[in-house]
Amino acid sequence: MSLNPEAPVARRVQTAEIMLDSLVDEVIQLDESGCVLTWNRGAERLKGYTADEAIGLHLSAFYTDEDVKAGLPERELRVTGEIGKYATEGWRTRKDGSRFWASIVMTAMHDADGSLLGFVKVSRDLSERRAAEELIRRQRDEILELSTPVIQVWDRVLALPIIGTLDSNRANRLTESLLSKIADLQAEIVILDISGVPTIDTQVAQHLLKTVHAARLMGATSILSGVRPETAQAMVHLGIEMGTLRSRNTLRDALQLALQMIAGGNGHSRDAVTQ
Amino acid sequence: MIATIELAIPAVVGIATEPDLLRVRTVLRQHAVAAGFGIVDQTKLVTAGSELARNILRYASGSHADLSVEAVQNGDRTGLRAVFADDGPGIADVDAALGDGFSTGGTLGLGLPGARRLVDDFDIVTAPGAGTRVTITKWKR
Amino acid sequence: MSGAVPIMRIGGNVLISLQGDLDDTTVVAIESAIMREVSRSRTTGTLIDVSGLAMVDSFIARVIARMAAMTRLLGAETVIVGIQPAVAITLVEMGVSMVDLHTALNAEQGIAMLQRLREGTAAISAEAAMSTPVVR
Repeated sequence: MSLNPEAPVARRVQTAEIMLDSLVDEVIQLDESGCVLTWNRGAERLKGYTADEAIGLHLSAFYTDEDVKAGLPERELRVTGEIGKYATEGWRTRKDGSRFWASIVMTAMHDADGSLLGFVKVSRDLSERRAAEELIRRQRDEILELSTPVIQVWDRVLALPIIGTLDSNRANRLTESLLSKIADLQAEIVILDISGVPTIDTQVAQHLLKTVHAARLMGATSILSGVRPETAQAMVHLGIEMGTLRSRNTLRDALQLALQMIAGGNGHSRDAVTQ
Repeated sequence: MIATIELAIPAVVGIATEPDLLRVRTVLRQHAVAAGFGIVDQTKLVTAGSELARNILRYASGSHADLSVEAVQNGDRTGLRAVFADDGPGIADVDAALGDGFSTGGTLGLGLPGARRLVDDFDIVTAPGAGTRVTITKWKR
Repeated sequence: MSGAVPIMRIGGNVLISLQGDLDDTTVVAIESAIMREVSRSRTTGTLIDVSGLAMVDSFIARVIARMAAMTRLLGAETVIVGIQPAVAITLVEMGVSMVDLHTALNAEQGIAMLQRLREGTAAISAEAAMSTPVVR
């Protein structure tokens, strides 16, 4: 078996055919009008048609109805003919009518004087890969959330920079993680930084206040940081009662306050309302 | 030859005396652990159960009452369902009992609003003279 | 849970540790024992350690709050220490506020807090003893 140019043509063709069939991907040839000339095992596996069924079919048989109506197959063939090589991704259909997301590379073949002979098309089913990618992305998101960034910024002072939107689940997880850390590290002060939270609505504010309350029950005082004037205004508008919750514009200011409180012999029991 | 006896977690707990209150908490905790609930959800379920069991001891004493627990499934969600049932006097005004601030018996009301906030699904069927049946469901997060 | 409730004295404070699973009768019995001891010893500080409680329901919370209010009437401040994370979240979720209670992470911080509260009270008493009114 050989693809050696010196080897007899028959032998080379046979080798090529074996190689084609061993490929997982679909590798087919189309004539200049876009009808199937050759059909490999990968194509059969991917699209469900046997070679007998597929040969002679026009490329548009593998496109969705909407795409056919929009003239997509013809457009792709024409562009490939003009520029020589065309890569794309899109929905394609199988013999049973089901759809899959495909990655396609089409190459135009011309003869010596430049006229179009036909096309070679290599296709791959990306559906599985997309599903796998989705799963990885989802897992990564979960991991990012689970590894909540509760930072110990000082002895007995924790900071939790909250970034992004807070839905109920995420808020609960953050709260639980924070409270566990308070217990583990015996923290007396917690700085909740909300500069990374795009919008403070009633729900977010309630989650924050619940967290502050629970931390208080454990004996830790909270300081809110990253509170812009608009945020403070918004919270007042929403009728959110901040009570004795201290807030600062920046994390830096909040940390300064925290250190004052720690150094000042912890004058931060509920009775001592010193700002 | 050593025989191992596997004790299943009780599915039903009678509620008639104070020790039963402790038993309710223990059984709910065991079920919650077995169902794979995290510590926070375990605690919420046990606390809700404690409120409901106390209601029975306080307001339906002498009646036939019990807690029954079962694992439940909804699609790919799993959870626990606990039913607190008694054939006591029933609650006349359920809406008031479920609203915050309803106070009776010298405690923080019937503890129903609090218990309701700790679980995912809360159902109560009651009428004067017809007993009370509270069903709480908590899903695994 | 039955048996004697161990009440300790540390540096002039009364300390009690609540543990395990407490039925209502036991909780009330503990409350009585503490009040008796606070009254008898004329202490100025009480520490209730609940780090051994895996659950605090509305009744237990109510009794604790009641105890704190009553000890204050007897001249003693009360600090609750060691509320577990899951318990804290549950209490907040239930809506049991306990806002008027002093809380601390552990016994050490609790005792320090009792000290500060005592000093604060002493300062207020000293000022009250002066004839000129104090304007804050």
